[in-house]
Amino acid sequence: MAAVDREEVALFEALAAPDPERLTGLSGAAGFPWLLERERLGPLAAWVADGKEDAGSVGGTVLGYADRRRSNIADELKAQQICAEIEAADPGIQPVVLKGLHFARSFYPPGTRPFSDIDLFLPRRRLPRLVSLLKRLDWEPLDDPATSRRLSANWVHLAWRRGRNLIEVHFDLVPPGRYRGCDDLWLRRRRLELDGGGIWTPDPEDAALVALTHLAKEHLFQPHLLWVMDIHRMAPEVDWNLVAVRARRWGLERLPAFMTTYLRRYPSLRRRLPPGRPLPRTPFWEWLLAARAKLVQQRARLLGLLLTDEPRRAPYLLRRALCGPLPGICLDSDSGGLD
Amino acid sequence: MTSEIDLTTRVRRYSDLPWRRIENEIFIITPDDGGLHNLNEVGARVWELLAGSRDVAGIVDQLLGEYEVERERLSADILGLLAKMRRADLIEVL
Repeated sequence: MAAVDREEVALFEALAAPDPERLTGLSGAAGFPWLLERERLGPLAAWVADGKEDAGSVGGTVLGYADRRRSNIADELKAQQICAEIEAADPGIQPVVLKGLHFARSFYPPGTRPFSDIDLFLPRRRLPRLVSLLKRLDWEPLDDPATSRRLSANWVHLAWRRGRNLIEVHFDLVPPGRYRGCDDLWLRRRRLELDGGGIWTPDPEDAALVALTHLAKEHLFQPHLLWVMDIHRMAPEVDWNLVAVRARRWGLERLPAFMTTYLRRYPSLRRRLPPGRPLPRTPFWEWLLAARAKLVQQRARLLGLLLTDEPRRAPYLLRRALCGPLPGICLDSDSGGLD
Repeated sequence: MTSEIDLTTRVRRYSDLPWRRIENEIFIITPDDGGLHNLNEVGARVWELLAGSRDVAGIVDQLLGEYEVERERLSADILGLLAKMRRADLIEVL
């Protein structure tokens, strides 16, 4: 199983509790500033320190992140305003906000959960409408300067830029052909009312599954404590049996079973997550999960592949080889969208 | 040219501006310029009172019951604050 080092666990536990005294105890260690920055937990640490009577004793490293909370607030409000702009332009489109903004506004104290882009989710069939709308609002596709491009087998999102702002429009959690899709996530969307507007979000179980998938796919081997913290903070609201049911429906049954086992290495999460189901301790798995810092991308891709259910990719690839490109989505809205 | 705000002016905040409270402060973003505006404790209280339309004198009266301050000084401060908020497109005059 992937190594979880002691410093990471200690930092996580101090923030999860939250326990300012434990945080103070850690703050003197040589590697502490680097760990806090790498894991993007500085603003949360500043909030934890703020609850301490003599906050100054936590040290300058943590207190220095108080200003970062302010810039995080600006990011939250800007993202909220962009969502409002999309909604005003087409109230019926209702993209679901995933991860960053949703987690920041639902599970964290103000300004303590950083994020760098806006993640939206829409079923594939609704994408052309959003593509057309984003163009109208002066967003530019980031992946391909051409106006028309079919979605390849490996795409799960489209990226758009306007000035310094980024939107990722997700239409799958993992590449198609390996699982059954998650369009029902959109059908279960919920309204989160915020001051000056609101956003659509996944329900708690879908949010948990998205977070677990993201952690497994992108961040198990990389700096990952922020995403572990996401799970910790949302866990009390989640029905984990329902997560397992939906994961099975999506063809991702192995994923939550493995991830909850992994996450229970953190004592705070042991109390909040079900036992999960450990994967076989074969030499291959031990190699794959032995070190988080080496061959990060390759290990993450392999893990993602192994955690999806039976390989549905084979018939997909065969059909692609025999029949040419599979039905995808044409980004050129003039052509009518779905082709 | 826009008219001055005085104690009889009715004002209210724009309801579609995203904002958030952190402890005693309120942060507001204005969509047109992406500007982040920050109100201190008293400013945050004024922002709350601006949720519905009311005249400035009513806001001053409300705050006099909450803070120990002279009416004249408070009135001047509130008029100054509202003028700034109006220039930043946070409030509208009715």
